[in-house]
Amino acid sequence: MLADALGQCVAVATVLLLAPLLKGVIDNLKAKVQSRRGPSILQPYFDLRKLLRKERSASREASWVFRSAPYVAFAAPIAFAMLIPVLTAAPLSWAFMADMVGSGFVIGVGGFFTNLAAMDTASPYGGLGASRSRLVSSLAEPTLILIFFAVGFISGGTVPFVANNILYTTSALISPSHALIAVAFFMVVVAEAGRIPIDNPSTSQELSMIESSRLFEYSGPDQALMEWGGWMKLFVLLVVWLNVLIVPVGLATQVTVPAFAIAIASLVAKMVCAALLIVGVESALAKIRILRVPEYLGGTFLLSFLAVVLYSLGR
Amino acid sequence: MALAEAVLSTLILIATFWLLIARQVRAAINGYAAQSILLGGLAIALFAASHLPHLLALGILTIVIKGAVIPAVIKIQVRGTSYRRRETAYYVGFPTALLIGAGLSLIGLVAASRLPFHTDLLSEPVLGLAIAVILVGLFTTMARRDAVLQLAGLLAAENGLLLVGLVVSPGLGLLIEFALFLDVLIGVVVMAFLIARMHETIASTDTSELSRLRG
Repeated sequence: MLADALGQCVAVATVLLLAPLLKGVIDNLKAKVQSRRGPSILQPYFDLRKLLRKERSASREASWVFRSAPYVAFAAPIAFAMLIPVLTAAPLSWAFMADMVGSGFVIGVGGFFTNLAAMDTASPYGGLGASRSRLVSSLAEPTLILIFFAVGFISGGTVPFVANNILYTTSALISPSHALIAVAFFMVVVAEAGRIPIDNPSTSQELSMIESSRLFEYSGPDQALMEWGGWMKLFVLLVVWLNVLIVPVGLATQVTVPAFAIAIASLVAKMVCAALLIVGVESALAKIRILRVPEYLGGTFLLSFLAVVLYSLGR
Repeated sequence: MALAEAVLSTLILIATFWLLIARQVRAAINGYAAQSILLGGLAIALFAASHLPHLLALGILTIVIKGAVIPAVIKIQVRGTSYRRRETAYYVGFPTALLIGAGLSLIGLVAASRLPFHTDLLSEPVLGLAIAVILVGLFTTMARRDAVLQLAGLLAAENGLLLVGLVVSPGLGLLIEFALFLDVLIGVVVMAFLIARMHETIASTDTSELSRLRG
């Protein structure tokens, strides 16, 4: 029991500490692709240190929602990390707190509070970003639900650990419906985490922003928590994609130091591959117009729909 | 079914959907090239599994002719115009087209699950995906007004036929496939010439403008 709790802590700490590194690696690789030298891969850590030292300032009109949102946005991905197989193939003690739908809810709470806080100070850009991010999320919802259905259908369970075990051990891993789910989920992750082609994370033009315009009113430690939460969101969603859907190899089967070391090393290797994929997508594509977002997410819905149909026909 | 075949056949369907919603001529041609290269890769993966030599030849021919030569022929014909990057006209809007594409794929998958074809090489889901590729490709031809995109849809449907051929009978003679390739290549050259001619005459390749018959 104690070892389980310790393992859980290590998993959460991995998410906490590696998420800024993922952001740094993506930024650096992207700059390399554009023939720039690029920032150090440790730059996000420096940013966090700088922001955490600064003073926080908030509008006099801001309510408790504005002040509490950074903590919720920071805590949601951490809670989510307990529910998914970050390092271990076997469920740890807190993994049964929620199933996939529940963990989708947990990650959604963070976004919900960020949106409320963005509208709380009545900053025009915040409201704009909040309404746009609601558009993206509400359109991504049907796809996510269908993916949950399909995974639940194939694995007979909706707890991420169970799905991970079943998909890994049965022949369901290698079927067209599985490949469709993997592609659809990756497209949804890209949309939810605010990457190109839905949103440009490095833009400085307010009118085209979705995610970053919601953080305009924040400063100092609040901003650090918000940004860190955003990076962790991308990280944990990619962990689900990698460890549940695509390459569930290298996960620890028991709580021992060598097993966890292998698990962390394999996670880093997988994350580097995922970062390369994201950099490739972001360098090859342009951000699409906001009015075309429904087409993109409609496409993901179509893929997950076909996955469900294919699986139910193939039985 | 091996991993490569499942992933490649899925990606072929996704490339076909990409073709359906591609707005620019350049994107559509690239989509077709990607689809062909994936199909060639699938044939080579089948060769690795079955060691039938003509599958290797088929895969290499598909990648070279359909993945490189045919896209190059079409691209050369539309080169030098601003046209290849312009958004093209269509009869069916993109969200609707996606929905109809989903319906057509559903028909393809259900039809395949009822067909009594069995082979050792590729399994039933791939047959469904192949029929879906044919239907979506043909629908692309109907949904677009631009001649180049219509051609691309037709070629995508032809790739789907090749995939059905792979599923239904892996032992199709190389001679027949070779004849098919030559037919497609000649068809594309003729079509590309006609498209270039059309562009020259009416300064557009929108087929809806070809409504009057003149002797």
